[in-house]
Amino acid sequence: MRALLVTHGRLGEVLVDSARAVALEEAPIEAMSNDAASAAAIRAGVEEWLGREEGPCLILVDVGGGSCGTAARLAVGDRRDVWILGGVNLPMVLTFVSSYANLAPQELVTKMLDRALNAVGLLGSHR
Amino acid sequence: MNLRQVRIDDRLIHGQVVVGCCGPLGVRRLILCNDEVAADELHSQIYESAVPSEIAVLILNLADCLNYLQTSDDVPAMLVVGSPADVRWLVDNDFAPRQVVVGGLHYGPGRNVEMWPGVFVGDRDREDLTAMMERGVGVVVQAVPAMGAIDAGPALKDAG
Repeated sequence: MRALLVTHGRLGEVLVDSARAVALEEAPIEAMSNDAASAAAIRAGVEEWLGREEGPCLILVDVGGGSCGTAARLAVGDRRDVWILGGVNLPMVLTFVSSYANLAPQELVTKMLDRALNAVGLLGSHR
Repeated sequence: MNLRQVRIDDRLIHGQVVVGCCGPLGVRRLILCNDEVAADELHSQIYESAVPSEIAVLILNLADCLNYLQTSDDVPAMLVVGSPADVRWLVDNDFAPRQVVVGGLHYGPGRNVEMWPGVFVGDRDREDLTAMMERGVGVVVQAVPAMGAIDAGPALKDAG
């Protein structure tokens, strides 16, 4: 199982570097930016990555309705062995890095979404 | 038509359009004019799903869009096209916008002259933009309304 982050700016690259630094794991995960790229170029980049290897994989995007999410969905088309997850955050990426080798694809996706969602919330307030 | 903006953007509907333009411009109807997207159901669904439910989305091919633009719809709307060629076709067929905004044209095959930081044109783009300006359409470069707009004419000339 491998993963590609498709994000605005350097967000994906920084998330991958941070996850690797925290987990001390080398995982099959790469980042791609939409910087200065047309919709066609982003889609072509995702298609090229998908075509490199066969087998299930994940695409993590920051904004589902943005150019990254749209390009990912168009590139994936009707493939059933590719999961696209939106709202990527560090807990989601960390979960991939630490669990990709041990879980089946659907279990991994569920765990990544759980961790990502559970990490979002109000931790404190100034009243 | 209550058109708040006519935008050229090769990414079509994306964050800059939905968040950066529709909100500040009070847009309630987003019209995507693109032959390829309009002919493909999956493609259309993906773009429709990128827009929050409070904004209606209309995806039309060029000919249908031209007809729609001649209706008297009062809903504040924004028209998005993917290239200068598409909006020129509308203008050549009697669509008369006061202004067209070049919001996003990225580097790519046949589009390699930077007319403004991050905004690229090719020969065909130049020809189409110039033709519209000659017909009295104001053409500006502006990523989102919160940023200043610059006149595309001098920028095209300076780009050589």
